[in-house]
Amino acid sequence: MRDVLVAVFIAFGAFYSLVSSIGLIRMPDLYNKLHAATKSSTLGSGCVAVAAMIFFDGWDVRARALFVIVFIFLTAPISGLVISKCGHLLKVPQWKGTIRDDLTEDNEMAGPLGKSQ
Amino acid sequence: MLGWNILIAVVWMALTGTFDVPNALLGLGLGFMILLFTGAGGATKVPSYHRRFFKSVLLLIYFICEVVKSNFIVAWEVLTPGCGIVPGIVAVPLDAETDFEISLLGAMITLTPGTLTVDVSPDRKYIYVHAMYLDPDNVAEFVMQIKNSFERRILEITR
Repeated sequence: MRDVLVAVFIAFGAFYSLVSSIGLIRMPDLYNKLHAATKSSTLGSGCVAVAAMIFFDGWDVRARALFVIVFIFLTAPISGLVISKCGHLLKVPQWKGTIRDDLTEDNEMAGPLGKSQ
Repeated sequence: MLGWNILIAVVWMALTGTFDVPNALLGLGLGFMILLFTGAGGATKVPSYHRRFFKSVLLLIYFICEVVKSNFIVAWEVLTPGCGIVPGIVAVPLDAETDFEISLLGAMITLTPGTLTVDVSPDRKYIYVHAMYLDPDNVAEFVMQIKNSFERRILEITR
């Protein structure tokens, strides 16, 4: 039973890491690539850590694995935020199908320097 | 309240003489029940310690469900041929005020279906969200969805 659970979690983790890598190549622009990079890789590595928690017996390993999960969930959104914010400040081109951009409008309304600088 | 709960756990561990993780969890659980039934140490304050604890657990479960859902959506978009996305950046007005509330909301938005936090306005009135599937006629509904799902739940816990 335990082995089956471990296998399932590792398989899911590997699958989502793969999806995240393919998404990085396939998505059309910076922001959409970040969707794949932040969400899928977080759950991917989270699943592997959960598998380690089930596989090993000691509470020390479990506590460490739990904190690995916590820190991944804390840091992935922050790096995503910083990368997308930098991309927007540097005016990285958006995909042609983008239908709305409130951030550019708000920055232009605030004057030539923008609010964020 | 949290301090009392930990104190009861420490006393429990000292009395039973076993200092390991399962016993610490048992002590914390016992302390939680004791504080719930005796109403000691300000448990009757509104919103009470126990209510906030249960709301936090509910938020955590809801969040994990949303993370799994969002990964199915991304996986579907990545693995199926063609490009069915309609992206856009939307300004969502914020009710959250403190650093903690805003950063928690931003992190949760990033990890949930089809949305990514791009920026917070310097006056902290708006959070800019990049959405993968945006319906151009129904942006207001999208904004309300974010405000009603995560922001409301976070504010119920922190206030």
